[in-house]
Formats: sequence, structure tokens, C-alpha cells
Amino acid sequence: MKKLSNILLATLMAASLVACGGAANAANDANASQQQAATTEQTTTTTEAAPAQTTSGGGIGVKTPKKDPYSDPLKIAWIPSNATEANGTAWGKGIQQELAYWPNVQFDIYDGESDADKQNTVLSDLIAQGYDGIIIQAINSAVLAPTVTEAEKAGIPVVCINLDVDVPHAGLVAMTDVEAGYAIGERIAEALNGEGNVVVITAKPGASRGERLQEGFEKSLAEHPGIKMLDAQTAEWNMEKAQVVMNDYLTQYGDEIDAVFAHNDQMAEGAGMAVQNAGKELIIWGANGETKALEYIEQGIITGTVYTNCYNQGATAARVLLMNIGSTVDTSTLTKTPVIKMPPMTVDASNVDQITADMRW
Amino acid sequence: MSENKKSFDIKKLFGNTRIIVLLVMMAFFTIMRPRFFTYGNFVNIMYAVTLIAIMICGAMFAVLLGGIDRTVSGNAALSGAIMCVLISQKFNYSNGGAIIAILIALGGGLLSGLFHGLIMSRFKIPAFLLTLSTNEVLYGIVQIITGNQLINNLNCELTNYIGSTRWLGIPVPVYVLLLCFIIGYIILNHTVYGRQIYSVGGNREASELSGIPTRRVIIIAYMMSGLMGALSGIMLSCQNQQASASQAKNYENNVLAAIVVGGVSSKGGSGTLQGAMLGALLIGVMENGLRLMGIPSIYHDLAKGIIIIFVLALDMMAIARRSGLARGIFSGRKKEKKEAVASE
Repeated sequence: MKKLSNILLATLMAASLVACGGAANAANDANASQQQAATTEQTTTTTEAAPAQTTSGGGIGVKTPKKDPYSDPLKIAWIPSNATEANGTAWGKGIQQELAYWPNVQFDIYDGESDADKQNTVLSDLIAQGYDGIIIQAINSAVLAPTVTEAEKAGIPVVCINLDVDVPHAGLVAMTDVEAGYAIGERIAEALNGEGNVVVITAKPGASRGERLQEGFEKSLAEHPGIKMLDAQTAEWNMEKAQVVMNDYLTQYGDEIDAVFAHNDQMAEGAGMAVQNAGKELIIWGANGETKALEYIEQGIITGTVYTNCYNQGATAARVLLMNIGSTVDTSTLTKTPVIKMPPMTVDASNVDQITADMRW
Repeated sequence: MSENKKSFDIKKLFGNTRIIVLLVMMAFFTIMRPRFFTYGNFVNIMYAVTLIAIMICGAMFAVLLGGIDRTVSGNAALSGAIMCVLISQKFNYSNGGAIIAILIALGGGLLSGLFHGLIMSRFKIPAFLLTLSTNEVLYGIVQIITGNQLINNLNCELTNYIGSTRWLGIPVPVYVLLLCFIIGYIILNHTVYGRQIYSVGGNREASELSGIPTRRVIIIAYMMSGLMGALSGIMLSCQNQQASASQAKNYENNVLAAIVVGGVSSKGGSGTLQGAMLGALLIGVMENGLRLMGIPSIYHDLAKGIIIIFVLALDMMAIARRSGLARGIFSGRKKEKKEAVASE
């Protein structure tokens, strides 16, 4: 078997050399040349490629799975951006519940402490320790990219949750963001009959999820010229800061405000509290769908949110990872990261009861 | 100290650079946005600085001793977690249970303060290093207590009342802040302990030789800090109806910034609580004003840093002028030149 894989590798190398023309030095680095070859060729699919499909001209590389993910001892790690945040915890729980079925799998959580460099260090350590697979919520898509590539080259598939890296790797399991922002924009426009003013409470500057939610939201606003965005200020994902920001909005714009869009539920909750304390009623939307937001929707403090089942999302990431560990596709040769999008659910008072206790996180 | 305060002096009041900076800033924001200068907005500013300011009322004691207490945020997270876990999992959201939970949470802060006080008074560990690491320990404990979950506390009447009621249009936490300030002010200015703390902060060995129980002074100071940190955390959890394992994280930086902007010497022994409050207010007013003007958030940190440096530079100038030392470009160089010309 080993011999066979060596032969395959050699064929692939040769093929890639041909494909790359004069890249003579590529012979020094089989992996690099594989990647170069891959980028010059056709796009890939997410389905497993049988060894026989390694035709000349590059494409997806093959590997011999080192382990059977459902029987051999495995070490899998989860690196959330922050283990103490609601979704980080929920994803972790989802992964854990999924992996708990397989007694051969050892599952560890490493907190990224909201620091991309910290995540990078952890990731390098895990490569050195010979983990079999890694699930990560990458705080910074650029900073973590080289290390993810390193892991993939070492034969460790990396699956991202929500926050992706800039290089191709085994998979991404994401909530919808542009779509969610757009959906919220549409709901607000509908509630206001296309006329009114909205303020936005934004994510931490530079957070990709915030930017993408905003992108979708603004796309919707562009279709409703009667709706004006008065202001957008950050509350750094934080409830108490959102309350302060909302107070200041109310001071500055007073009755002009008709609706509020916050980039996560915590901030929507803070805005809801501020609006309630000011004795007003506004349309307030958040995103994510954490437990307290759902209860606030029930209590009428906020209007709605876009809910994603984080347990399910974590479990999905775990399944994708196990599949990749056992597959013969060499994910380090992919040219595009396969993406799974979690179906969102737009929740307001009319359907909040559909989210049962076991779905709340 | 206290004698100076009794003779209220307008000239002296305006001699305080911070008040001038604050007034200039307020005038500027009022011109730019007339709505800045309204009762409601001042209440908002007070509310925005409340959590930080309550922490300052405690952390101030450690800074006056020449130390620093970075655990205020850890204590806040710990007390919030203890309170919410007890209320939601042990006391079933009852009001009586909430009172017990709050007391236990405050006790947690006191214990943490006692621990730091004991170590700080016994060993010569730099306070910065000790509290930097113990703050991590505290957050670790919080993670264990909460199991890294958000602990929701939506159904407790008492904590909801504290978190979201207004008396005369002013939120309850602001009254708690006023109470803390008055207590801190009285302790620092009108008690023997207050004088001892300035003395120990100024010169520990001399104080010890003169018979001041320095160890006790230090232990009580850190306990005050722990208590106020815990109180701030309880207010935060009441406002948020929730405890999270990363609650109040990094608040200690704002607390220390406000204390330093407030003119409290980081070497210990000098500075006033009202000065530190003014520092917090200065930062609060600036953030509020920038938001009212609709300036994008990415510039706020920049503006905050510049204001802090500006106030500190004004301070240094004033000190240099008072002490007669000619240093830097502002103070005395002209005089030096004149003198040099004269001597020629």
C-alpha cells in the first residue's frame, strides 16, 4: 500500500512539473508543486476522489488515510475564538456530543482568548503534537492562513466554523451572514413600509462576520431608498456597551429612529434595554439566536433575530472532519474550500416558540 | 489634605487642568451638538461610567499605596458569576435568595482582596505582576463556576429592579456609585485610616517606623478594592440579567487610565478620589461626545489616547513649573534663555 502511494505521489509530482513548465525547483517541495499544479487546473468538487482518478495534469491529490476515523484512536481539537462566548460554547458542545458516540476519539478544547496570535501558537503546538484533525473559528483570516496550510500539509484536515481563513483547506461550516443581514434589512423595510430611519450597532471593527452582515443589510437598504441609515457605531459585541451606545443614539436622534439593527444578539439585548428604559418602542433586530435573545423576543424587548442551531453546526463540523480524516482526498491540494452553510431561521414573536428548549444555546 | 479642601477657591478650581479640559470639551460638544447639554445626556454619561467608576472607588486604594490592582475586572466577573449561578440554580430566583447571593458574591470579592492584601503585605512581589496573574486565575475560576456557559438570570425581581429601574430618571447603579464615592471620600479624607494610607503610600518604611500598622493598612486597601470590584460586577450582571465568563474583561485598563488621567500618582501617596472620578468623567464625556457627533468608532481609541496624553502632558507641565525645574519645551526654556541673555 505504501509503495502504491509512493508511486502515486511520484506520478503526481511529475505531472505537476509538466503542468508548471519550468518550475525546476519545485522538485524540492512536493507539496508546493502539488498546490501550484492544482491552481492551474480545474476547480474541485467536494466528493471523494478515488485513487484511480489521479490523472495527469494535477487536480486534487490523493492520500492514503492514516487512520480509520471510526475505530483507530484519534485526537481532535477545537479552537474557538473565545471559549467563554455563547456560540463558542455551543459549537463546542455540539462537536462534543457528536464525537462522544465514537469512543476512539479524544476531544480537546483550546481557548483562543480572542487573540489571533494565541490561536496561531495553539495551532502550531497541535501540529507538533500530531493531532488528527482540527476545528477552528479563525479570528483573523490572514494571520492564521499560513499555519492552516502547514497543518494541511502535515496531513491534518482543518475545518473552520463561521470565521474562515484565506487559504483553501478541508472545509468551512458557516452561518449565513450576508444573507442574514439582507433578510433583516428586508424585515425592517417591510415593518416600516419602506419609509423610516434605522441605526446600526456594529461588531468590533474589522470582524469579518460584522462586515458581511452589514454588507447584506446595506444591500437590502439599497433596494429601499425610503429607509435611511442614520448612524453606525460599535459596541464591541458587548451588551452593556450597546446599552450606552443606544442611549446616545436616543439622545442624538430622539424620535427620528424607527429601527435598530445590531450585529449580534448581545448588542440587540442591550439596545432593547435602553429603549425600554427610555419608555419607547422600536423595531430591534439582532443575529445569532442565543437563548436570552429568544426570551427577550418572547418578552417583547427585542423584535427578532436570525437563529442558527449552533449544536447542529458544531456536529456538522465534526462529521465533515471525520469524513476528511478517513477520505483519500488530500485536502491540502484543494483549490477552494468546500463550504457548508447552515440554514438560518428568521425568528420573531410569531415563530419563536418553534425553537424548543433543546435547540436553545 | 482636608484643610485645603475646606477653603473653596475658584482660582484653585480652575487651576486644575482636568476641569479646564473637561469644560472646554463640554463647550465644544455643546456647540457641535446642542443635545449634548441636556439633563438626559448627563444621566447617560453618568450611567456609562458607573461600572468603571465603582471599580475606581476600590482600585484607588491600591494605587494610593503605590500598587496597582488589575483584579478588579476578575473580581467583577467572579461576583457576577457567583450571584447568577446561586440565584438561578440554588435559590430559584427568589428575592430573599438574591440578597443572600449578593452578599456571598460580595464576600467573594472581599476574600479575593484579603488574599491579595496578605500576599502584598508579606512579600515584595510587584503588584502589577501578582494581580496580572491572579486576574487570570480569577477568570479561570469563573469559567469553572459558569461551565463556560452564559448564566441567564431573567426571572429574579430584585436583580432586575436594580438593573433597570430609575429613581427620578436616574438609574439605580448611579446611586450605588454615589454611595461608593461618598464612602470612599470619607474614608480617605476624614479617617485615621485615610491618613495612614497616604502615609504608607508615600513612604512605607517611615510609616512603619512611626508606628503605623502598615500590613493592616495594605490588607484593608486590597479588601476595599475586591469589594468594589465585586459590587461593580453585581451591577453589571443586574443590568445584563446575565453572567458570562468573560464579563468585564479588560475593564481594568479603563479603570487605571481614568485613575492616571485623574492625577493620581502611580508611585503612590498622592492624588484624590474626586480627581480619579473626574478622570473617568473626562473619558466618558469624550466617548459620548464623539458618538453624538457620529464620528466612526475606529477613531475613538485614537482620540481617547490623545486626550490621555494631552492631560498628562499638561500635568507634567504644571508640576515642572511648580517645582521650578526647567525641563521640556514648555516650561522654563524661554526663562533660561532670558536668564542667559541677562547674564551676558
